[in-house]
Amino acid sequence: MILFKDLKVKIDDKMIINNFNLEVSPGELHVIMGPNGSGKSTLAYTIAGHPKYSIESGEIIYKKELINDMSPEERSGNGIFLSLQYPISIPGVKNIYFLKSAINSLRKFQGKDEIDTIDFLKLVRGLLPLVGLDESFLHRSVNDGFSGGEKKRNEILQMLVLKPDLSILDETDSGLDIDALKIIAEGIKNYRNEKRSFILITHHHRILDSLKPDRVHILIDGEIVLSGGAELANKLEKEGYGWLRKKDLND
Amino acid sequence: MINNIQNKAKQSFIELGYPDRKSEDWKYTNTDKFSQCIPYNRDIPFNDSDSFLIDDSINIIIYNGSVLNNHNYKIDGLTIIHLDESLSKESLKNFSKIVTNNKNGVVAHNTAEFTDALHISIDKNFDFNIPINIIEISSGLRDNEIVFPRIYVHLENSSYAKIFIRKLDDNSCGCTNFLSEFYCEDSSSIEIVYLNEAKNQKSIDSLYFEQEDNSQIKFLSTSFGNDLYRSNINVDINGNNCFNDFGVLILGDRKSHTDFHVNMNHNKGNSVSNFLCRSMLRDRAKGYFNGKIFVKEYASLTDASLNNNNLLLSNDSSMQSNPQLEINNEDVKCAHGSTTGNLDQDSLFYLLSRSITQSQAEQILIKAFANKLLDMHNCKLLSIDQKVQNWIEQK
Repeated sequence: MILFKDLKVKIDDKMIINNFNLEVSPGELHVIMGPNGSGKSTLAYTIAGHPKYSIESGEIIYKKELINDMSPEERSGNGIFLSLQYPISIPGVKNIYFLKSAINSLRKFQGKDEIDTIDFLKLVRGLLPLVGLDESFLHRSVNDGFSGGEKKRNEILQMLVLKPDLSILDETDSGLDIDALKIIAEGIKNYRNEKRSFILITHHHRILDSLKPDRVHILIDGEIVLSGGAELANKLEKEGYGWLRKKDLND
Repeated sequence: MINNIQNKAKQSFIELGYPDRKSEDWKYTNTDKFSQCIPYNRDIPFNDSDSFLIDDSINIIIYNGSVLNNHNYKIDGLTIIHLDESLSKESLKNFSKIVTNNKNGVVAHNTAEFTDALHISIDKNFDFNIPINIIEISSGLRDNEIVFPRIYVHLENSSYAKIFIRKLDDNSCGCTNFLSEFYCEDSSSIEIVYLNEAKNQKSIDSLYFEQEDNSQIKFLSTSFGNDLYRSNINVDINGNNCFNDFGVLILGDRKSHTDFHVNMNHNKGNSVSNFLCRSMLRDRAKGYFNGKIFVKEYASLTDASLNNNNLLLSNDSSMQSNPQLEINNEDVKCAHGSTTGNLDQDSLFYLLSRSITQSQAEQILIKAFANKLLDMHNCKLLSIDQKVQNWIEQK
């Protein structure tokens, strides 16, 4: 699905991602963990094509195509979705209008006709209970005045509407109470299938209990220093990142 | 009575003239053109009235400064009359008392030269729910001609009215010196939606508001890329427990010049005022905002805000913003602020990352910026929402 080869990414002349290598196959869920400032969100934004992050060298190959220079909207059109750690509020744009614009833009990109309004409403109303939101959220401005949990659930709603092939979930589980975490995890779990891939960035092992990741990677200073199974997340929960200093690993 | 007022104003105008750019309040707007124009006194017939009318409203057309179709009439709760010499002092009410002819040359010129004025009065305790739609049209004016439309609106105790004012021109130039006065008696309430689409005109608007106890004003002004547009808004809160909410939306394009001056005078306490001006400027448009909240020493418990947000959509557009506070009482809550910038890049990325194209994403964010004001005011009858959307798409 997506392959990173020796990726180096800079922001404001500071190198954040160094020699990043990873392959995520269709249907796989990979987890990226790492201390604050290790480059997790930079990686997420880079995959989605944020113009602030410049690729110094290396390649991102998505569905066998080099996407280093692809615009964010093209990446999205091709099935890449980023759930933001801090979803942006857009006062003055109603959620329902935002979702409809997004789905119609996607359909246009895919060469399809615009969705019929009734079909759109049916689709969204069907998805709302899966993320524990009621219909009033459709008529509020995008993320404006939403609680932290509501914003995260709104991100998952967008994922379910746009049906991406690759979802990058940047700390989607942060700041959620137990019930909200369960709803988000269920939403992701139900969306998973053998064709859809996920890169999940998280600090907590809790969400992994129900999601059963294929691989867990630890990112330090913009580089994967260790990869393993779900047990790695449990070890981090108990021991933190101290033992993972490069020196120790090399020894 | 009217003659007396006009004769005095003529004298004042001779003494004052139009303010020039040496005056701090007028340093951005050149009034030479207004001084050089001669009052329009020709008679160009007006035929196309139907296309501007709104169903289920009281429609009044002011054409080149004259009220058409002899609108003198009275229905339950509402009186509409021309102001002419036959009016008694009583029926004039506070006409021309809100404005100060002897201090302001722009006002003095209108008072001296207006040939017709519209007087609207709402009876006490009357909720006048039918919108009053005033269409002010300038047409066929020569480049050196000026017209002087004038409106006086009086709300008696505990009355309500909703007024639309739509300003239009054809492709002719010329100038307009427009003056309107709104007098709100105790516990009255008025909603005003003002739409300026006179793109080719050079115009100065003087809008004066006076509020008595417990009165309320909701006001929205939207202007579209006017060649030269200066608007002076003066609000005198002379009563306690008043409320007002003023919104100004400026859409500047081409080489348009839009200059708003606002004075929000809290002369008595316990009142709330909110003034929000938002401008969106593209091409080589220039915008100016000067606003002042003035709180008098005995206006305790005033709650006032004055904000100006500007969106620059091209490298050649510019904005000068100067919101000010002058507070002479310690027991008040006052806020002012100003922001000027481009579209927020993170918001733009958010939309792009949801498949939305660059141009559509930009349009959505520009419209969202305007929606802050449009959502607060019911302006459906003038289709302002659609006009703003069309303006955005014309880019």
